Amino acid sequence: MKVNLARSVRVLISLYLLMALTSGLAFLPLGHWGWHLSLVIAFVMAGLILLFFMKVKYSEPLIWLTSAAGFTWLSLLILLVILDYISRAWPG
Amino acid sequence: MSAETESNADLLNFPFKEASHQRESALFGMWIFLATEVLFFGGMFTAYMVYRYSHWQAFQEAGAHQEWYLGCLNTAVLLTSGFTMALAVEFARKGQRVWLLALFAITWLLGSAFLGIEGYEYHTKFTEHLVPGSGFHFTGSDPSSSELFFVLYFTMTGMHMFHMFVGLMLILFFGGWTWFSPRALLTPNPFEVLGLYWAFVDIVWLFLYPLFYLVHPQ
Repeated sequence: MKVNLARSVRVLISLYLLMALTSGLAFLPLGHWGWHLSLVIAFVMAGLILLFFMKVKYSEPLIWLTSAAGFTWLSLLILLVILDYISRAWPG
Repeated sequence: MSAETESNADLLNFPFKEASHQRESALFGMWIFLATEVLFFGGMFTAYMVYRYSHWQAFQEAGAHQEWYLGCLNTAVLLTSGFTMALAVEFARKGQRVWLLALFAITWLLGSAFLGIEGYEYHTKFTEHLVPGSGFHFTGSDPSSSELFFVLYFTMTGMHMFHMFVGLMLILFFGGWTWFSPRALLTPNPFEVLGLYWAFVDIVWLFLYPLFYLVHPQ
């Protein structure tokens, strides 16, 4: 198997660009949207690292499932906490 | 038994009979560990989310004291180290010792630079009395809630730095092993597992950066 340097460089450049984007957006007055957007960008960057640097894209289904498991449990935790916040009147 | 079978059998640990099975098990085990790590950091991220929603203004004021450009520099350093580590693993798979060692060295230097920058930041927090505790001094609308921001900052970046430190020690260990033992590269499995660990530590930082440095950049 050949070392795919060009693909890794493309992924790295995409990561730099996304980093610049999230940094730039932080200076705009977006309120709550600002940090929600920055988290979406962080998830895209994490996805690139998972797929290409951690080679999930080229792995067997067992690895796909296992890598998704942790994030699935975490999203359950966060989802239920958020539901509590948006469905009740909290101070702040 | 031929020489080839002997050397292959030598690489297999009990109870494996096939190299592919051994490899899958190594990677599967690491991914399970990483899933527990996601939940370990995830609990802290959830705490951050709750406090940021409930103390919005205090977090904005505290976030204004963060040097966003240092966080940005550290993100770039860490992304680059993730790239060199991913390449190092590919060279380990191909059995190219010199390239592997060179990329390990670069990754190690980048990781150390990250810790150096982070250490400098911690130092400035001490001099500015922004470390939670009896010495904490903050002028704002709600200092005790702003203190929460710094509690989370030190806890989460501290745990991340600990993971980085462990990663640097592992690179030293695996690098030394490759340097001294010609048998190190007979199987790439340990290097692939180390690569997964390093990439995961990268990913954690990608979330820490916007949550602690881009709250209210000046």
